[in-house]
Amino acid sequence: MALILMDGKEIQIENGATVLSAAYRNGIEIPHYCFHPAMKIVGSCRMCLVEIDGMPKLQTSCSTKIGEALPNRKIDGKYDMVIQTQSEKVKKARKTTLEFLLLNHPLDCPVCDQAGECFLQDYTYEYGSSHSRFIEEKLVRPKEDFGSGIQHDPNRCIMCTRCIRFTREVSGTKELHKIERGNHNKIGIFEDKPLDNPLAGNVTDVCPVGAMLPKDSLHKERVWNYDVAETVCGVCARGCNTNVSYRENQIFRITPRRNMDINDWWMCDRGRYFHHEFETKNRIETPKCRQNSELISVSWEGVFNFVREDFARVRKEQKDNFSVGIVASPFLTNEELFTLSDLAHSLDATVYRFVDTKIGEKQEFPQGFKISDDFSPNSAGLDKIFTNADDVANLKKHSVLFVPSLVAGFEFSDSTVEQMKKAKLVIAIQDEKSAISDFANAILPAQNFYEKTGSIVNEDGWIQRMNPIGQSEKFRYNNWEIFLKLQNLLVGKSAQFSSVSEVFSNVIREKFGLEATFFGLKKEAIQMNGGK
Amino acid sequence: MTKMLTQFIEQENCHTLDFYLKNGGYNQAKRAILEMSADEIIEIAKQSNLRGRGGAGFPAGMKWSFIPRDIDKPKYLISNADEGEPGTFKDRVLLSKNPHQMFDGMIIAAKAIDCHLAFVYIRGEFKKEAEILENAIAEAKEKNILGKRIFGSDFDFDIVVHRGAGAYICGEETALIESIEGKRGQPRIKPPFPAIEGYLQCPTVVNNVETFAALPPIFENGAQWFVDLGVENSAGTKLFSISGHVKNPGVFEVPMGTPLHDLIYNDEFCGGMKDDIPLKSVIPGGSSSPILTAKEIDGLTMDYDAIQKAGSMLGSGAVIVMNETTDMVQVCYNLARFYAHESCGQCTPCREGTAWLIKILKRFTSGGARQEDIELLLDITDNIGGLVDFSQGSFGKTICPFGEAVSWPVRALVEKFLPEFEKRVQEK
Ligand SMILES: Cc1cc2nc3c(=O)[nH]c(=O)nc-3n(C[C@H](O)[C@H](O)[C@H](O)COP(=O)(O)O)c2cc1C
Ligand code: SF4
Ligand code: SF4
Repeated sequence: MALILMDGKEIQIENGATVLSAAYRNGIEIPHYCFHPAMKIVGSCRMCLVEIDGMPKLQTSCSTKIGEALPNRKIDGKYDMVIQTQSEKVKKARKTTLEFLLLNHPLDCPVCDQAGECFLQDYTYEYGSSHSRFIEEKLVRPKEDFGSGIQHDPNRCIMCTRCIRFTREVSGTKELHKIERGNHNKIGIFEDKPLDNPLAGNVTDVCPVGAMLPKDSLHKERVWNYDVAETVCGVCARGCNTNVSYRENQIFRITPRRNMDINDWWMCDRGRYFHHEFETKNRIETPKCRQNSELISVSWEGVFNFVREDFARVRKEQKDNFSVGIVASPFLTNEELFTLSDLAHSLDATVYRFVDTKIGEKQEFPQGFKISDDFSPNSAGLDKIFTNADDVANLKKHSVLFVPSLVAGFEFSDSTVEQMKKAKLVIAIQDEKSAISDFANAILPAQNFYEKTGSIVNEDGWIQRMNPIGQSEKFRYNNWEIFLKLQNLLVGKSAQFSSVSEVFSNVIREKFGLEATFFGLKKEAIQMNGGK
Repeated sequence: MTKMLTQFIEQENCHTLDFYLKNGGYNQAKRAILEMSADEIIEIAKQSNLRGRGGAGFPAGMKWSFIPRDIDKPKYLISNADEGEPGTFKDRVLLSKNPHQMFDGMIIAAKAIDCHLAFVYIRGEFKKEAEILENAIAEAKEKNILGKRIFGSDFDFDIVVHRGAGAYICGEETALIESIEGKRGQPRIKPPFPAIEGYLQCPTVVNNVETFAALPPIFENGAQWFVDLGVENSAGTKLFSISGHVKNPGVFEVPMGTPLHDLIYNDEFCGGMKDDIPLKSVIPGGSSSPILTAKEIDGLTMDYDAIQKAGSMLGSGAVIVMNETTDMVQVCYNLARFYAHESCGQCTPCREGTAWLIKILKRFTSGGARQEDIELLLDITDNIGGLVDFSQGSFGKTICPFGEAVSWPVRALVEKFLPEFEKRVQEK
């Protein structure tokens, strides 16, 4: 351990820590651009300069390591290093570096999507100057399309090279390069090799300014208007932690949220842009039931009455041949699966599971970021909650079938659909129209995975919490409540859960053998098997 | 006057191996390989007080001693033949006229750091010199001076010539290493220094061509002989590239401590000012060294301490002499333009500041300069390269010394020739 004095504050820190990390861990901000914890240190932006006793030059805090000084070299007899992050010299260096950065910058914040979350704006406000001494003409260069839906604006670029290092060190694909020299420096791609990798979208997040923007959300909304849901991506079994930015129930963008156990700082482009799959016009908005072979919209009461009456009728008609089948899918949360399993149990139903979700390709990137080959979010939870469910390919003929929705890109096979059609009563719990809608007798509108609250288990056994974008009026019931409601309706009793937290505590205790709270899960994922 | 690097350069075929061997060449390399230990070699280099001839003047023996011994990574040696500093053209003479002496020195240094593969990084424009080196290597290989088991020992040593592509910054040792690795030539942040992590993250020594070439005579005549050639803190002889308004510009080898006046005015050297127009100023150590006025060079001797005391640096030994007709504003613009063009562009102050400097200086040369531009120029140089205060070291704000290399000369020019700049403001 070393003892340092930073801005008059005594700090104990392990040998080898950088000045920058010592500062951040002790609540001292040192502005910086090129430093990113995932990438090689280049020390080129010169923003993080600090003054260190005994060194005439200002030092880059990102690269300067703290170590124990020899006993006779300690400052004031005890300090291994004495650092000032606010001295006049440091302030001048920061101010002038910002002045340099803004010389050729277009100052077009009013039309820049980064405004509001831009480090050039923030640092200039905090450490910069409000007027410019530059009276010359600025360098102006055209915007460029880099591929993978990314637009580069060289005029806004501050040449921190984070984007380049991302493609070299994280995605390992090396599409981005620095071209030209000196003031003509710019980020470029080779003509026949645009940005093209499954992680490309992350360059828009590592860019500290508005020089790399996703065309997907370009000019659609100002960032300060966004509401943000901190949630988990449901597009593959990795479960990358994400922030979903939305406004009035419309999702504008999804960005990764740091979790060093699961996704580091990153997410894949499939997960990033998957929300568009839910923008179809096929949304099921209201409950429906089939009358005289036509689907008509009814109220929730109407659909529940319909289900109760038809279920009773079919049971009566079928007598000894009566049987119930339930399809469970890894697109459901643990809480949904748990209440579904209760329903199955109380109806003595045969449970099938949709298994064909390993349609992807396992991918691992140089620093260890992974994309799963399982394109569903909760296979591990499904395995825990339904221990002996049969493959839905072996679906038998049943009198009544409960079928929850699959997610875009997945369908039941034709033979399974044919088999389903043989049921007398098909109750679908769906967010969107699908092949099932063509013959289902009753359809209950469901939440898709940006809308629901619950827990899922990733491929490494991490139990994580999904949080919804703002609760929409259109969902009278959470999916798990629908299953409870059905159970109550058809059997006359069910568990009494008043909140998802309560369902969570129960499923986690009964099926996983763990004690945990849903609130606790908000802060930290937990390991299904204990430990890592 | 004793010469140890250029005594034969006027003679025919002086660049050939036969010629070099006839004059006692490679005896010292052979002795180092067959008879000397690494420690003995480093000790002699240290005692000789041979300081790097590339610009910074760092003691060579000390640099070698930083190479870690007890690791199993390969070690590399690089001869810096990028010679890009404006005003400098002395390595070129050695490369074309005396290449074997550099190799001779490289073998000695290789033994000192246990290196088996070395590079000569030669500036792209030196095409002819690169060919001479390639031929010289081929000759040496035939004679078992380079290659496997050199001089019949169990020591392998090879030299590869690597041509640059014409970037001044690739003369900076870490940019040079990046360039040899096949990357964009731009300096690395230090530490780690090349002695710990250089080429391919392995321990690497980079020395200037002239530094290597100085080794064989030192080993032949002894460290003390070399020390005695020069003056205090500046041992040996040094090549000076002298250009500008003199009668007879060229490369001259003289002992350290030789008066600048002699170099400029003696017939043996430059033979006086061209057309006898009086001298106005001198850049003593390459374009990166602050300019000195006629008054400041009065009695100046050419050695590290004396030039530093005068407020400049010996640098690479490139002396640019200017007469009274010289427009110092134009000189300043010219210099700044070179640096703006050659900045690698990674550091914010250097990338943006150099371009800004020339935009402002353009106003001084072509009209439109404002009074406040003078203050602005000085402030920008401070923001890139820091104030010059040799007693306290440099205050540069960039990764490599390029930031200082542009700031110091511009600052010195503006401060020392202020009336010329002010005149431009009035002229409008
Ligand atoms: C911008 C810049 C350019 C340089 N160019 C050269 C060069 O052309 N040749 C050279 O020998 N050293 C050059 N140097 C110095 C090298 O970085 C290094 O210090 C030198 O090669 C070490 O050799 P020495 O110790 O033998 O002088 C340059 C340094 C800087 C900062
Ligand atoms: S585009 Fe962004 S991330 Fe890339 S160098 Fe420019 S500012 Fe940095
Ligand atoms: S000081 Fe200039 S030349 Fe040196 S690394 Fe920085 S930008 Fe490149």
